[in-house]
Amino acid sequence: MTQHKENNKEDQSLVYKVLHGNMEAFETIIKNTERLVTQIVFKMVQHADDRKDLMQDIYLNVFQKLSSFRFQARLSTWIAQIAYNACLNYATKKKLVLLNTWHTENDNEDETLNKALDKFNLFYGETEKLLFQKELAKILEDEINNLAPIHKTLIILYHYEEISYEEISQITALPIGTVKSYLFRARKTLRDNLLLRYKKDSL
Amino acid sequence: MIVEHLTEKEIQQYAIDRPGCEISTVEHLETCEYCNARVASYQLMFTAFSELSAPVNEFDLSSMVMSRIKQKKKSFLPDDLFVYSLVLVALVFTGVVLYSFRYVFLQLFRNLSYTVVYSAAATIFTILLLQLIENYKKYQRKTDALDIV
Repeated sequence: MTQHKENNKEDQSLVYKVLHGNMEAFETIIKNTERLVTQIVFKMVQHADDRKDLMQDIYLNVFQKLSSFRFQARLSTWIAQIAYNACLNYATKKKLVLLNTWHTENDNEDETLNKALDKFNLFYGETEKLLFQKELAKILEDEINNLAPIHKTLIILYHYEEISYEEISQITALPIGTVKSYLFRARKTLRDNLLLRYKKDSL
Repeated sequence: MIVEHLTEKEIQQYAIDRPGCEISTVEHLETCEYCNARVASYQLMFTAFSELSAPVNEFDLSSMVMSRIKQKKKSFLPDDLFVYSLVLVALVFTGVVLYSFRYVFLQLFRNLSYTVVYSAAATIFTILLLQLIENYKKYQRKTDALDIV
C-alpha cells in the first residue's frame, strides 16, 4: 500500500512536470516504462520495422493523452494498456490471429508426456537440473514464441515481469477469470511442449 | 487425503502458490512421486523464466519520440496560428456585419411576437445543451476507456 502511494506520488510529480512543459520528465517516463512496453510490443508484433513505428506512436499517444490520466491506476499500467491496445489495433489492421484454438489432448500424447516425466524425475538430480536450466531457458524462449500473441504476452507479464492477475486484467481489459484461464492453458502448453522436446532430445 | 492424482489446475497452483493450496493437495504431494514430478516440471519451467533475457530495442526510443514531439510542436504552430487568425477574422467580420445592420436585425425581431422569439431561442438553447451533454458523455467514455479503475 505504501509502495503504491509512493508510486502514485512519483507518477503525479512526473505527469505534473510534463503537463507544465518539462520534457525531461517525459523522457523519464519513457525510460521507466520502456521495458514493459517493449515486452508487450515484442510479444504482440513480429515485424521489427512495425515495432519501431508502433513504439513511437504509443509514446506520442501517451504524450497527447497525458492530461486525461486521472491516477486511478499506476502510470505504467495505463501506458501498458495504451501499448496493448495499440498492438490490438495493429493486429486488427493486419488481420493477424491473436488467439489460437487449443488442441485437445489425446491419450498417446499423454502417455508420451508421462514417460518424459518419469524419465525426467528418475535421471535428473538437482545439479543436472541446474545445468539443464540454462539450456531450458533457450528452449523456453522458442516455445514461448510459438504461442499465440496474447498468450505469450500474458505469460511474460505474469512470469517474467511479475505483474499480478489484477494488473494484467487492467492492461488487457480481460476479466481476471479469463486471464487466469489463458495463463493456465499457456503454462500447460509450454510445459507439455518442453517435456516433448526434452524427450525427443534425450532419445 | 486425495487418493487420485491431482488435476493439472491443482498441480499448477501448488507450483505457483504452495501456501494457498488445500491441505489435502499438500498431503497428496507428500506421498505421490508422480504428482511431485509434475510439480517439479512446472517449477523448473518457472525458474527458467528468470534466465530469459528481456528484449532490447536496437534504437534509442526516447530520443526518437522526443524529436517527433518537437517536430510535431513545430509543425503545429503555423497551423494553430492560421486557425486562430481565421477565427479572429470571422469574429470581427460577424461583429461588423451585426453592427452595420443592427437596425435591420432589430426590425426583423420587432415584427415577431414574443412567443415566436422565445420558442426559437428555447429550441436553439435546448439543441446546444443536448449537444454539449452528448459531447461530454463522449469525452467521459473516452477517458474512462483510457483511465482504468
